[in-house]
Amino acid sequence: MQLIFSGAYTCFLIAFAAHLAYLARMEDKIGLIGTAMSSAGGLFLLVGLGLRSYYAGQLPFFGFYETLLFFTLSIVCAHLLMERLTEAKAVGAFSLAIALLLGAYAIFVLPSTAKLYSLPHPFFSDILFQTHILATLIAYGFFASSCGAGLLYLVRDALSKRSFGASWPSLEKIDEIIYRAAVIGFALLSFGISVGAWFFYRAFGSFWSWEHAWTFIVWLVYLAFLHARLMRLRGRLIAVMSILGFIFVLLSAFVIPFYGV
Amino acid sequence: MADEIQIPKKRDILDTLWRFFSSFRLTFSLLVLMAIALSLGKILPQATGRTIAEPNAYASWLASVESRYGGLTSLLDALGLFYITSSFWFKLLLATLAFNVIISEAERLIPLLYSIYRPEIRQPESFFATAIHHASFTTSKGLKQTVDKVRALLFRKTIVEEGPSAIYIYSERLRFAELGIPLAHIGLIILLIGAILSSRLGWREEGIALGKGQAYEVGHNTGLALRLDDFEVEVLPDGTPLEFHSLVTILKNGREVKRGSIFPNRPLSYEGVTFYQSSYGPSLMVSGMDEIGELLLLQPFGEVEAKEEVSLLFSEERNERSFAVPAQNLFIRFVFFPSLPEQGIAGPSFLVEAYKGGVVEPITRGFVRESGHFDIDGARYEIKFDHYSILRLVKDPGSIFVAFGLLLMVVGFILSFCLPSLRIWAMVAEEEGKVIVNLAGEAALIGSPLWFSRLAEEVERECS
Repeated sequence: MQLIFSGAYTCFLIAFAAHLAYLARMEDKIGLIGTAMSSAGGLFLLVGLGLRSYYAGQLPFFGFYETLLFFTLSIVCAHLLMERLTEAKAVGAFSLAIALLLGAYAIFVLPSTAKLYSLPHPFFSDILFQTHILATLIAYGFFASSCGAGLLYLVRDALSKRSFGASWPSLEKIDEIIYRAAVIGFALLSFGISVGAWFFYRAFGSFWSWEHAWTFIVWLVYLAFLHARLMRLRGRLIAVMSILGFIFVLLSAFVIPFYGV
Repeated sequence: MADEIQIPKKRDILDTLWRFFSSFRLTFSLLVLMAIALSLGKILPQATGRTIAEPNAYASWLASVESRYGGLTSLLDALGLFYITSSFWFKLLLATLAFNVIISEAERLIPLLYSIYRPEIRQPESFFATAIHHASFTTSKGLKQTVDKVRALLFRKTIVEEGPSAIYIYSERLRFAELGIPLAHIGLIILLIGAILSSRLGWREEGIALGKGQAYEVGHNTGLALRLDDFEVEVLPDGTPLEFHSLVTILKNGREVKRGSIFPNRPLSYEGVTFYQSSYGPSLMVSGMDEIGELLLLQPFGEVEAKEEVSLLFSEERNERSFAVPAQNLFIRFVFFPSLPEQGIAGPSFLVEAYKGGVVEPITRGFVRESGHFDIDGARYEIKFDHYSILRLVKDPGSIFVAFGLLLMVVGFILSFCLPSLRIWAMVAEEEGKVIVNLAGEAALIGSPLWFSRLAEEVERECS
């Protein structure tokens, strides 16, 4: 299994390098290599997680290791979908950088004891709970894409007076990618939270608990982000908000629940 | 005649307040403040509702956090940062958000409905110059041909009206999606009403521990009682639960009214009270018999009545139970361990110690893992290892409102943010042998100017 995940990671590394080269030269062939390697890496990761699920008899998000890998997969899938929707390959370098960091931590840093299968408590083997986690993690993948586009926006903006980066997508185009990725993520997160609330009510008799408030905080942050668009805010502020929003995602999904900071 | 001079209307205080409370800016600020407040609440320790309700309990809770926050404790307490969601200012934030939502809907809902069902097709020339998205070009093609070309490129729902000096085209896509925001706002209000109903009329009882055969009076003027008939649990050798459930009988004024099973995620309801399976814990049933076969009376610690059989319920927090055997001048203590890896025991086990009156050292000491017996001073004690059920009782009359409000909110947000509702106006006029096309566009929320520029470019290319 480790071999499959390492193979996926190698593909992501090549894809990242290709996307960086694409940013430097803006050649379609290099961009295509980046897309192909991202897809191959995603496929490897999907197969690996699928096999793990098959052996464990449950979906792959009941431990820190699996959750990180699934999150990495959702970032790559969101990046590929956004690339197809917006025809902009330039954003990929930044989204893939996030996926690479998370994937490296899961595959190479976590101790082997953290990679053991963990059985879900009977409460959490419920289909509603699993749907909640699935939708939330995919939403977080789109937020990573939005953050990647936000980073690209800031770099593009900083380089606006130089010749390097002149052929990158326009600031308006990147602004659109930031927004569209956040909107898809927000819709998925809203769905995930409502399913989670339903599950929580059925299991514990209330729609939410203070322990799970971080997901709700992320939702509030992105709702504020979308309202900022209603106020016709554009540009650098929106880019910064997309990055801040993703910091909340990382805090909510990984730092706080698993490290109790 | 000279044009009449238009004096700008002076805004009065009511008008200013109305604008303030109906603005998206306020919504945005409130959402950001709530996110910051809740984040602070997650970082700082929070006292539970019960602790806050009892001044003495809250004072001792504050003393327990004082070691961590030192001199800041009183400031954080004064700001309500140790009980954020119960604080006055957080409730004020919520109330302001609700007010903001009501006022903004009062301002926007009727004009929105009107514009959806009776769209303004003819727009003045100034509209095409000042719209958020606008474009203009001339073409040498004929008027009718241009109108046909423009119409073909717009959305499926397109209306054409002929004016005295121009032809007006109006086209829209997914217009109903604009109802998403009012829907979400109505959902939020319903959700808040539900939450108020739940907090005012609802109640919940947590951690009700019942051994087999034991009953619990529900109280709250319901006349209900819950009896645990059986509890079944399936665990792995290391104690990991695979499945557990309770078989219960609900009694009303002493009469059996309902029987059923309570599983995790599958509660049982009766007359608005819902019984949830919360968790379970290990228990021991202990009875003793002297040398001649007479049952011994056992006096559990903290209980008034002596019994022939005692049920000892353990948890990780309350892992020690004991009882006295007056006839033998004995005191028997049990300590529960979820696992003892250093002794090679993966699952739960119990340390048993028996003390003779006046002697500090135990006269017997050993571990028990399963049902069996042990002998002390000629008496035999039977131990039956079992589990007890931990249940939660909830009456929540607001839950239906909360669920419905949540549903409306989610549908509303998905409609408004994810379905791109678009409107296009075109004015095609003929002037000095040339056809002028004016285009204006509005996107409800998607807000990106790119869709319009792409469309305008396509229309211009096709018409040229």
